[in-house]
This record gives sequence, structure tokens and C-alpha cells, in this order.
Amino acid sequence: MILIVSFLMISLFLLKELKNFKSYNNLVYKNLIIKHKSLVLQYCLVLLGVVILARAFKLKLLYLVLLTLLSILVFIHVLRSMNSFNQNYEETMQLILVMTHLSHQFKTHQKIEFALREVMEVCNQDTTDKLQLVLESIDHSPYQESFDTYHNHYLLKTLVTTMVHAQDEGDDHIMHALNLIEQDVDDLNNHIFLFIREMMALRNKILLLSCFGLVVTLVSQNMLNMVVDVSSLKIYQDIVFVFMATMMVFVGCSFNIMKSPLIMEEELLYDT
Amino acid sequence: MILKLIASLLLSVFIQINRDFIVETLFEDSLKSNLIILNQDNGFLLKQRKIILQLFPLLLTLPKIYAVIYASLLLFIYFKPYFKTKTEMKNLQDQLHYEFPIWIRSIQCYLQSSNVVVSIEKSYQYAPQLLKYHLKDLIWKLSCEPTNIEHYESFMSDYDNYEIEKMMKFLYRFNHMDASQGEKHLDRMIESTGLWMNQTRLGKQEQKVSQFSIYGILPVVVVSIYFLILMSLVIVTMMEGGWIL
Repeated sequence: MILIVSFLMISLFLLKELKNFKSYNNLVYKNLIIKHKSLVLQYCLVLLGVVILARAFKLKLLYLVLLTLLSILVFIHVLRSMNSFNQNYEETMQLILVMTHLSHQFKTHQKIEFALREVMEVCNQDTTDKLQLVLESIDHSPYQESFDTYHNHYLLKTLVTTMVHAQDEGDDHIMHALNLIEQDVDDLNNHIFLFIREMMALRNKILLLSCFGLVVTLVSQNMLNMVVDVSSLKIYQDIVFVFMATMMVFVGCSFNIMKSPLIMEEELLYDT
Repeated sequence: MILKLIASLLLSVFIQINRDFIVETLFEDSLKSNLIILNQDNGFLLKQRKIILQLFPLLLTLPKIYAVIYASLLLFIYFKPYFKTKTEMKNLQDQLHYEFPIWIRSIQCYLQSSNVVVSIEKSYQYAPQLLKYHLKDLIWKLSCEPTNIEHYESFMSDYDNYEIEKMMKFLYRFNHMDASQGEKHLDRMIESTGLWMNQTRLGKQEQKVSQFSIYGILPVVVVSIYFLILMSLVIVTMMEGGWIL
């Protein structure tokens, strides 16, 4: 009965995930797999390794099938987390690029529109489209509000305010003011990289601990088997299945950290 | 038993007569100030505490173990709002500590072309939500008395944040400086805000990572539980005598 229920539940989740996976940003996933194929292959092998390890634990075929389904589910979750991180990372890096270039170009042109056009040359298509919207809205709304359509980060707002002031009223110390903002942008960039490094380190630690835990358990159990046959216990199969499934879920959960936004919510300012 | 009942009855009569006084006296000062800052009414809390206090005499009639459980339960319900409010206040203070330098950074931009009062007014539109209510009050006060230091000092003073106090004094001093002095002052202010912002951001990132670090212990815990179950099963089977070696 428990087996049927768990089978149904896992299948249901899997179907839902597969449906989402197929319909939602299919192209993005394809790009992700192509871009990071070695990493994706590694994660795939890790999950396959867990299933093979389950065989070494003398797990029944039915449980093995369930575990395989669960591993597909976890793999899709891993892909989604990776995709979320990649999108987040791409957007953040583009924001930093826009801010640095905008400041740099403004020093040369002393005009926001010209600087923005120059920035659009170096950004990716998605950011260029957003900046195009900003450029179009500059004619009929204030600069601050126009830039809101692109991003709400406080440093971008600070930069725009400084540039607007220099453009409208002239400022002898604009270079110094822009340099200070560039320094802040550099700090933000450094902090983001530090954050990413810490996230990766923690994720790898959890992955390593899970794998190490599984291997140690298998070795110790084999040693125990020399004295007594543990697999002949009544509920042995259930315990092993729950144990393996839990470890697999932890592997999946370790990727949840990758979904954290790289820019803190507090740094975004909204006109309310 | 009868003695306990009489004592309980007497105690409940005593509490009934003095409950308002007892609850008011025991009401924590920090809880009072936190509730004001969080804009929460303390009426419900007072009522809840009075009821808990009235339930206390029952403790005397219960056997020892039940009395301990009953007292712990009552104490838990009694102090729960205090700790809840304290946590909410801590979160609010953390949020303020993060958002205040962001607002100050925008002020520093406006200060290049306007005076302090106008800069504060201009910054209102994109100010962090938490600051807006206090900012409105400050703008109104400064429009009446722009040079009064008390308005600067009292800004968000309930939150008891040294950095905010320091920055507001910076702003007040900026009011009374000439251009060259003002520039140096502004640079110092920007440097100080930058440092503050960096520290807060790094702290927040660390907090985020540590939220997930619990996952690092879980695999070890699961392995230990697995072995514990397995070992106990082995022992139980051996004790039953049904094991074939």
C-alpha cells in the first residue's frame, strides 16, 4: 500500500515537473544543458551512482524503479536551480556592466542619451531591448522613472541622479562623484563574487557529505554483513529505500541555495 | 488536598483583586516601546496576560509533574508575545541598518546641487519603505525649523542605532558649512556610508549562506539514524532468537 502511494506520488510530481520542464522556457534549458554539459553530465552521473549504490544495498527492483523516478525528479530540480542561478547571474552581471559603462561613457560624452547608446553596443540582446525602452521613454518622462523600467537598484538610481545633475546644472567635480559610484559598483561586484563562491562551497560540501555518507554506510554495512545477514531483516528494504530517498532529496535541496537572489531585495528601491 | 484548594482559592481571589496592578507592573518596558515602534496595540496582550494570571492558582491543586508541565505551558504563553515582538524588532532594526545607508547615498547625490532640507525632500520619492513614514515627519519638522538640531537627533531615535545618529549629525553639520568645507565633509560621509554598506551587505550574505548550512549536518544525522535503526533491529532479532548465523 505504502509502495503504491509513494509510486503514485513520485509519478505525479514527475509528470508535473516534466510538463513544466517541457513548456516553461524549453529553449533556456536547452541552452543551459549545452553551455554546461560537463556539469550537467556530472550531476546526472552522481544521481545514477546513487541508484547503482542502491543495487549494492540489495534493494528490490520495485524500490529501484521508484528511486530511479525520484532521481529524475531531483535531476530536473537541479536543472531548474541551475537555470535560475544562471539567469540571475546573467542579469546581475549585465547590471554591473551597464552601470560601469554608463558612468565611463558619461565622462566622455557628458550626455546620458549618448552614453546609453554606447552602453547598448556592449550589452546582450535582452539588456539592449530593455535599454531601448529606457531610451524611448526618456523623451516623455524624467530620467529616474525611465531607468525604473530597466532596474531598481539603488546604485543605478544614484548614478542617474548624479548624471542628471551634472547634465542639467554642470558640475566641476562630476569625475570625482562618478569615480566614487564606480568604486561602489566594484564593491558590489566583489561582494557578489564572494557570495557566489560561498554558495558553491556550501553546495559542494553538502554533495560531498551526502556521497561520503552513502559510501561509508555501504562499507560499514558490508562489514556487519560478515557477522550477520542484515538484508534478511523484515523491514530492511523499507529502511534502505527511505534512507536512499532522503539522501537523494538532500542532494536536490543542496541546490536550493543557488536560487537565492544575488542582489539583496533591500537594495532595490521602488516609487510607491 | 482541601488545604491546597483553599490556598488556590485565596490566591485566585488575591489575583482577581490585584490583577490590573500585577499585569501593569510586570509588563516589560522594552515590550512597551517595541509595540509602539511596531505600531501594535497592547490591549489584547494585557487581556491575555490577565487570563493567564488567573489560571495560575490552579497550579497548587495539581500533582508535581502536571504542575511543572502546566506552569511551563502558562509561562510559554505568557512570554511568547515578548519574544515574538523582540524578534520582529530585531528584523526591523536589521532591515533599517541595511536600508538607511542606501537612503543616505541618495541624499549625498542631491547634496551636490541642493541644500540638506531640499535633498531630504527630493529623496522621499525613492526612499526605502521603512523610512518613508519617519521621513515625512522629518520633512514637515524641517520645513518649520530647518536649523533645529533636535529634529535631526530625534530622527528614528527609537531604533537606537548609533550609525543613524552619526549620519544625521553629519547632515546637520553640512547645513552650516561653506562649499569647500562641505565637499570634504561630503567625501568623508560617502566613505563612511560605503564602509557601512559593505559591512551590512556582507553580513546579509553570510546570513543567507548560514540559513542553508543546516543541510550540511543533515546527511550525517540521517546516516546516524539509519545505523541506529539497523543496530536496534539486529539486536531485537537476536534477542528473539530467530537469527540464523
